[in-house]
Parts: sequence; structure tokens; C-alpha cells
Amino acid sequence: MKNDPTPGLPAAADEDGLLVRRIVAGERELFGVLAERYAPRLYTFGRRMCRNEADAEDLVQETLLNAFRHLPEFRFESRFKNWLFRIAVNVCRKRHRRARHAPEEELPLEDLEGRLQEEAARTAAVPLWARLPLERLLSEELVAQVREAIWSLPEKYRVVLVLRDIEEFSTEETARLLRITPANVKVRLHRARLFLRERLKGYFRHGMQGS
Amino acid sequence: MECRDHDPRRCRGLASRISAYLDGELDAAGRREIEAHLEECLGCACCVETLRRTIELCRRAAAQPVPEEFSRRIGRLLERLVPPP
Repeated sequence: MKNDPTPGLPAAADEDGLLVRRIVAGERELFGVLAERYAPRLYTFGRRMCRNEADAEDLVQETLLNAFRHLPEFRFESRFKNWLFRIAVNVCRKRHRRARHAPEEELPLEDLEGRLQEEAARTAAVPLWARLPLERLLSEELVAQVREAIWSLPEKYRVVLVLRDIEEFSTEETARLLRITPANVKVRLHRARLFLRERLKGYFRHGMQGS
Repeated sequence: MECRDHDPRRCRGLASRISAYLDGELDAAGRREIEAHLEECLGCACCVETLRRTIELCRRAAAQPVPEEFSRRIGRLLERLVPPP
């Protein structure tokens, strides 16, 4: 797929609406521009939500297909990107429901916060892994560890973390996308982050001289 | 090693608000309260810094380029949706 902007077309994401109007009015070939613009972000979303690469690719493909079919129903009440990710979340949930064998787990917030409290009482220096410049810390192994930790989150926490911390939707946007309250988004995000922090702490304690 | 400034009674309220603090979602009074506490309590400051780093690592580790073969698959999908004239 090309990455260069197509001459004469709106480039900024907030101008997606203009493209949608033209596509719906008959210039259907312009859908390729939207697909090229958002396929990389949808792919990252898919890879973080699905452990399996083929599932992630199917998620992107199904999302784009549904977006194309339902584009005339886009009401311009939100950004196109939000509407597209709403479709991606629905595709993801449908696939998750199909594959689910066990009920969703809860992350025990009291335990996570309790551990934080205990740690605060015992700690007298910021660990190396939180002090080093990020570039010095990043390695293929660490990236793999972070991705593994994200996958190990229960789905309802993972989706909030991915939308908020990776796709950078606001709390309110995430709440609308997932049809939950902003307070719920905040609680799930906080639990997910505390969970990841515990995992990373363990990695740095046992896998590296970073803590 | 024990952090002598850490007082469980004063620190209790912080654990549940760190994310909101890091996201800039606290009101001015709440933010000032936490910042004043972090000045005094190294234990809580450490927790804030490790959570901040966790979020940074999550952001940096997440992005994954689209494989060439999958790009071609998307290209074929688009051709099926909108056949070239």
C-alpha cells in the first residue's frame, strides 16, 4: 500500500469527513485512501487485541469491509476514526465471544493497590528501569515482554488500555466507543496499568539488573 | 530499605488516583495535593515514576508495522470492493 498522500485530497485526519462525503456521493475508489490511512492503526489495534497474527489480520479486513458497507450510515456525529474503531471493537468482541471458554476475569484492584502501598513503604529510590532514558531501556526482549503482558490482561481491561494508552483516545471517547461510563474507563485503565507495572517490575527484577 | 517519609495513613488516598494524576484528569486542588505529597514521600514518588514508565513502555512497544504480504491482501480486498475501471 502507498503511504504518500494522494494529491488533491484532504490529508489531515479531521478531514476524513470530506472524503466520506465524496465516497458516499459516488467516488467509491476513494475508500482506498481511507483504508491506507487507517490500516496501520487498525493493524496495531488488532495485534494488541489478538495474540494470533492471522486473527489480527482478519480483524483489520473485517473492519474495513464493514466500514465500506456501512459508510452511508456514518452520521458525522463523531470523528470518522472513532466510528471506524467502534466497528473494530465490535468485530473484536464478536470474535472474542465466539472463542471464549471461560468468563471474564476481574483484576483485584485492592490487591494491586495494596501491593503499591506496601512497595511505597519499602522503597527509597526510583528503580533504574524508571530512571534510564527510554531509548537505553528498549530492547526486542523488553518489547516482547510488554506485548505479552498486554495480551495477558483480561479482554475488558486490555481494550481500554489499548484505546487509551496506545490509540490515545480520550476517556470520554473511549467510554462512548465501548458504551461504558467514563468512571468505568478510568477504573479499568488504572487496574490495567497497575497490572502491567507489576509484570514489568517482575521482569526487571528477575530478567535484568534494572530494579 | 524503608522510606521514613512514607505514612500509610497519608499515602492511602494516592494509590487510587495516580492514573488520574498522570493523565491530567485531577482538578487543580487534587493535583496540588498530590504534588505536595510527592515532594515529601519518596516511596509514593517511586510508585508514580514506575507507573509513568509503564505507560511510556506500553506506548512504545505497541506499534507494529503492517507486513508487506498483509498490505497486498488489503490491496486485493480494495480491488474487490471497488473494481478498477
